[in-house]
Amino acid sequence: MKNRIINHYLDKTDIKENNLPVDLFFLSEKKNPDLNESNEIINLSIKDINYIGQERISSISKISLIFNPEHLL
Amino acid sequence: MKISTEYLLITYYGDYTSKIIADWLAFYSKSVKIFYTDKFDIELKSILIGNVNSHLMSSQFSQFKSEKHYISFYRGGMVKLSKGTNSRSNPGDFYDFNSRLKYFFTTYEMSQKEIVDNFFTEKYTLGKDNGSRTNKIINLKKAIQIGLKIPNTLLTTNKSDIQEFFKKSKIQKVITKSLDIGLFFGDKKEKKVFQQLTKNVEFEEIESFPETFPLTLFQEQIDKILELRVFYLKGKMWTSAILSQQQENTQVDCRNYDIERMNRVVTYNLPNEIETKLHLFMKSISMDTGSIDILLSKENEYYFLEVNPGGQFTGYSEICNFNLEMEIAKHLIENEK
Repeated sequence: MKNRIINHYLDKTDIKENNLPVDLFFLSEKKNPDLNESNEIINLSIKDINYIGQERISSISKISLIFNPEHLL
Repeated sequence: MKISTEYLLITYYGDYTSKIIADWLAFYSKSVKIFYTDKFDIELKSILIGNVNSHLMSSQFSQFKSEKHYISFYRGGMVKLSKGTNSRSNPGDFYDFNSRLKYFFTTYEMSQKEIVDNFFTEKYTLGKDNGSRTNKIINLKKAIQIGLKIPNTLLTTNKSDIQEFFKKSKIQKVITKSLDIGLFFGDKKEKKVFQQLTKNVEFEEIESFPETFPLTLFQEQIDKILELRVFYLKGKMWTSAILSQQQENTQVDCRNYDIERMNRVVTYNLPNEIETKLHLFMKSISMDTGSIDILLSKENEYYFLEVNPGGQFTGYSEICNFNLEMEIAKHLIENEK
């Protein structure tokens, strides 16, 4: 079995293709990668992760509708 | 000495949900820390039983003190020991020094991990330090015992079993997915992210499989009208319905979405019978919180698929106005007393 992605990255390891479960050959590229997240890691600072006594205004103005599956049947 | 309480959210870096929970805890004037297990580790120092001045060391925060009570939420990731090998080894050959020494360190580190876990969970805890994983197969067996319907499932190492699976079960379509947590990684240079989703396998495609392969999970593909995500928190449930059948790319796995044309998501009332069974199921696997995946078939039957201890629920919570992060914060606070 071949998968363009898995075979490409596997070449850089010692793991052999026949040691992989079949599901890995269905690996795909994520359509909407959040690349900002990986940039954020570089800018990590302790002050970003301590929250003490901060005020928050919640948004509870949205109205949700209850969905009835019988409407589809 | 007055013992104060601190809220501790243990997760992986980039977890947006924990930031919102921390925000809510801060709103309720609670002292809260987020501990990123993939960026930081813990070193145990000076634990003296019977002495309140003992403390744990961590490379993220100067120290975790025993004069504080921690109320913890294991949201994701797995706590690591600094200088630890964080690997497991079996006892090995009695006369082989190397394997016996490896086993010595395995148990030595296990004890330290248990002490850290006890430190964080003694007062109250939600979730487990298990890296957001659970056993899909054991959970399916438990679900059947509780009376939930599941798709026919096959775990196999050979091609002929899958072909037989198609024939015997009169199955038209199958899917494959990872036995445990799917592979998910990024390539910084290529600016790409790769994710293992649930994928359908055509009968003809099986011909190209090798005769034998490492253990792989296959499941009957159920024709569905809805995908349901149930967020479970100690007996309470909030359900979102994802109308994933309206778009071809999300019909097998709704995570394969197109950001410009997202699936419609609405709140949903699960039948009481299904809610009761889900509650019994969660109790049977000793999981106090998690995101449960369910399908509603074209025959109007509910199929249990899996439960994820660290599921991504924030998106659904926002759309359906569940405020789940606030619910978690309130739940932790209620258990401070």
